[in-house]
Amino acid sequence: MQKIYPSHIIAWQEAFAAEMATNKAYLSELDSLIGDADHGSNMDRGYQKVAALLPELTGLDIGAILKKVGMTLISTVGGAAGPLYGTFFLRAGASSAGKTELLPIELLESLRAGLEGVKGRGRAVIGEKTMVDALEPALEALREEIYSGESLKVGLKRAAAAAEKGMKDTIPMLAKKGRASYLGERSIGHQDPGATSSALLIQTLYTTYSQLNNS
Amino acid sequence: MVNIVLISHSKILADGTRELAAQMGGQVVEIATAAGIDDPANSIGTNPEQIVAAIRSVYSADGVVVLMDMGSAVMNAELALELLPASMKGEIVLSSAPFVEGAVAAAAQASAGGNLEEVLREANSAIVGKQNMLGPVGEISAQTNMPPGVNSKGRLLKIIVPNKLGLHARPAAKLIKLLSDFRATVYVSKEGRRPVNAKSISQVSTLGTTKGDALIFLIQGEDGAGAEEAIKAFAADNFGDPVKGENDQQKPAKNKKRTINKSKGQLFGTPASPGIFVGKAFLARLNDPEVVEVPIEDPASEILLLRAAITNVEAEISQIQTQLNQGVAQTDDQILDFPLLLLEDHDLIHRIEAFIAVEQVNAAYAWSQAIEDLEARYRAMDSPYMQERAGDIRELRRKVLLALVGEEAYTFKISEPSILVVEELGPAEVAGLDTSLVRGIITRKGGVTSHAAILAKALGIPAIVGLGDQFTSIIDGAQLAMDGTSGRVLAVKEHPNEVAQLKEQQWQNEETQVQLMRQASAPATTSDGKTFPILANVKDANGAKKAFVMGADGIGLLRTEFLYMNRTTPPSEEEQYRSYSSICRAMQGKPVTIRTLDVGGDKPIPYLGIPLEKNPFLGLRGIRYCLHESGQHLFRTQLRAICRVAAEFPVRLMYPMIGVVEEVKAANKLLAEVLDVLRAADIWAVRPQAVGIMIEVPSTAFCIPALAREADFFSIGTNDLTQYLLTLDRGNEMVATYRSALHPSVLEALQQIITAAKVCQIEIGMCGELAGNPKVTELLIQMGLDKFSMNAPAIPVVKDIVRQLDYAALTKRKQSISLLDNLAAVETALSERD
Repeated sequence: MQKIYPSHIIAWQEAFAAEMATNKAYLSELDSLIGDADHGSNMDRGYQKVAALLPELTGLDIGAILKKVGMTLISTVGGAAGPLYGTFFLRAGASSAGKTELLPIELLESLRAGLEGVKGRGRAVIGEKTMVDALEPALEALREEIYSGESLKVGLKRAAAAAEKGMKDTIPMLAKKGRASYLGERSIGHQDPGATSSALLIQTLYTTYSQLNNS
Repeated sequence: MVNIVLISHSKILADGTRELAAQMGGQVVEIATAAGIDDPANSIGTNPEQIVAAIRSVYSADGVVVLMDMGSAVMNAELALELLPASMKGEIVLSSAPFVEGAVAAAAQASAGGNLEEVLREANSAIVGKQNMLGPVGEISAQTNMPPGVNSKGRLLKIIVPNKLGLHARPAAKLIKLLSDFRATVYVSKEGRRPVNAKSISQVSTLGTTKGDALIFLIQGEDGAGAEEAIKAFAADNFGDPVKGENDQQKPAKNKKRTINKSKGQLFGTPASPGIFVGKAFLARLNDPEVVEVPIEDPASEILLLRAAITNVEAEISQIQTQLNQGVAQTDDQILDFPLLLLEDHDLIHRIEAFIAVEQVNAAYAWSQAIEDLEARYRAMDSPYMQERAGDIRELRRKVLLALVGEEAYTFKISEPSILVVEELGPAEVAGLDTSLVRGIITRKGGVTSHAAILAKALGIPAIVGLGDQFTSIIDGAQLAMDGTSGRVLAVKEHPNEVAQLKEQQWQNEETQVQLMRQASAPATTSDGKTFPILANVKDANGAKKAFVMGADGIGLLRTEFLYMNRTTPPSEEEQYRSYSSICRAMQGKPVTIRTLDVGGDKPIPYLGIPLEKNPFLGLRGIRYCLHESGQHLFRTQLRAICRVAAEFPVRLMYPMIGVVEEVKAANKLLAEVLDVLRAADIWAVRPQAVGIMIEVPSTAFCIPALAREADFFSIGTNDLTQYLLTLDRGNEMVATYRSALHPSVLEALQQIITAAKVCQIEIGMCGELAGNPKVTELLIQMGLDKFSMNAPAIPVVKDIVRQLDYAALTKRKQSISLLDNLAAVETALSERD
């Protein structure tokens, strides 16, 4: 049976921290077109703190790890990504509290709890050029695969692809939330930085899981 | 002292604003800031931990007003509130007031000793001064006279009230429901008056509008255009009131007061629901709790108590509403929308909660005050029709108060069939009555158009209302005779002869019913030995129990969509499994046909995410939704539950809204997949005994053979078939004239469908309204129908008719109805048959 263990979560967060460092300039550049040009540096600041913390989290259960990540992001990110990603991990953590392993369906539930948290915090729904546009299709794809009996690896692969598609789909969208919404029509034609980092989040979840489960 | 917290992305902005506010707040108001982040490279941002610290540093039991700039500041402020201990939260309020103006106004009000509510109000209206100086309030504000703090920009829409009674309870409820689909903020004002929130039932329904009044709607928000269209359409639809007979409708509001005949032992009231009953008077004292003001120390827990009570009452009324359309009678199940919407009225509830918090009084008192105020406004309205809505509100007051004091739901403890004699009843109370024991209702207050009276009629309980002071002369336990048609109440002792006559009439009415009931559970076999299964349409276990008693040979249509309604998430597989099992159990081994989720059209369910469609009846309805990617998951869950129940009970499965054979194939494929998954997981499940389809989309009439290859049985849904075939909207009264399943074109379609099904040797039944119409039982059998499924009360009657038929002779005779070419001729021919 395929399961998610605390080691997966730590590896995922490590890999995502590296992604944030690599993509710092790219994300800020995206943000400069429709926002305040700080998404990359904000996420990187937060994830440097998370990366530094990760070694101390070994031995904790999945819920506890996710909560620590969430709290760290909340107090260090600064921009809108702080409460949003922070809430994502806090809710995901609450949903997996005390668990030392997650079945695919439990992983899905945990991520969905996170997504619901983000939607509630930002009062956002799909189609408003936000993180939700990457996360929701990704989790929907994951759900479909899990429910049709596919392996978690296949599910995460499709989730990553759906997140990427969702991210690209934000390009023609009119921003309705956040700083970008002040631009009105001018927000059209640019990819949303939040959706971009969210797509990377799902992408790294897939790559870390498939690497750990191949070896 | 109320203190202030300022949250900004920029430390400079926060400090500057604090400086400005401090000029107004003197030295007394404490102002803390939480702004910027600790990163030299980029110090713009907010941090919830800082916010928590700032709130704690100025925390006061009098309250803390938190003002913020935007974006993450708002989200982090909310997050910070979640991180604070629950005991502090009651006094901390996040304000949406403009940052600078709000801070200055709040500081001024706080330093003057204003309480939390006053400080908030000042902050919220701080922008008005500037708006008045600069505009562009101009034209709009002149027209709408907006309350302070309300942005007056937006779409303006003028509507002349089309219907006689204006936005009375039901249209108001419809308007609220309609607008709830939109995110736009909507205000409505009666010309020249102060606008009210158009999404608040308590505010809208007390506007006191009548035909011809000009209403001005102010619509703000992205989807405002849609809201505007919806309001226009609503007005074009006469605010949802029937156009026909509108004049008769309000007449009854003027209750025909009879001159009181002073004859001893005889009383007259207003006849509200026909029928005769002779029996014991059961005097029920209204349990209207007295409420006193009690100072309290912990407003937060009082508010929680109130919320819990409201939730309980809401659940109770929703449940009654669900039970109401049990097929007991043609009830208007929208009647209970009004009390439900009142309980969900955020403006009203917030006002009450604020009252509890600010005045530090008990929840019961705050609730009672607010509701009595609302009730008084209704009683004071010009229209007698509106005055009668006050009874609904009184009932709500009672129910929530009883829930607050923890008393059990109010029931009348009647042990034998009696006449319920009571001051006044609310609609939910009437709907909750046990009709086998309450066989008549006499009330002191109320009129014939009160919701309670309308429901009594629907439930078939004789009722006499508005007895006034005569009411006091009724003695508990006295033998009374009441005639709901004339409004007369007689004491048996003093009028033995007249009562005997009434009794005779009552007995005759009942005898026919008893005769039918006695034979109800026997099969419906014609005189020459052919048996027709007579099944029931139900929606839950209660309905199934009733259907069983009424003699149903099974369930021909289980409407599962009701399991999905009035909630915010879909029912889980387990919940469905339990629900369907309990229904099957109630049928004690008789077959149950479960129809899969039929949503869309006129049965919208918000959480399904079906987008607002231009033509919902031609859109994502029934099986189309279930096969669409947005509905597949839900559909699979339902199929899993059904297959599990099918392993234990005789279950048949039926797909709704099938239009083409591809849909049947796709649905069957999903069914097979679901079964594979269940088997792989070793879950006990089987394919239902038979898998059939509804025949209700006209296209099916032209592909019967193809459909017959994929399905095990057909069941005709006449309501939708009629509306689609004639292209006459089911809900639009303006096109109702020829909308009848008896129209020759519909009858011809039925004949073709039945004949084609016979050729294909597939079972053909009917579960639409027509199947339960005793006038056409003979005709349908003549046409070749195999099975009937109907609302339970019709079963004994239809069975009785079948038993009197000679099947062989009937099928030999050519049916004459098909020769008729218009609806009136069909109706005449049918009425001549009895």
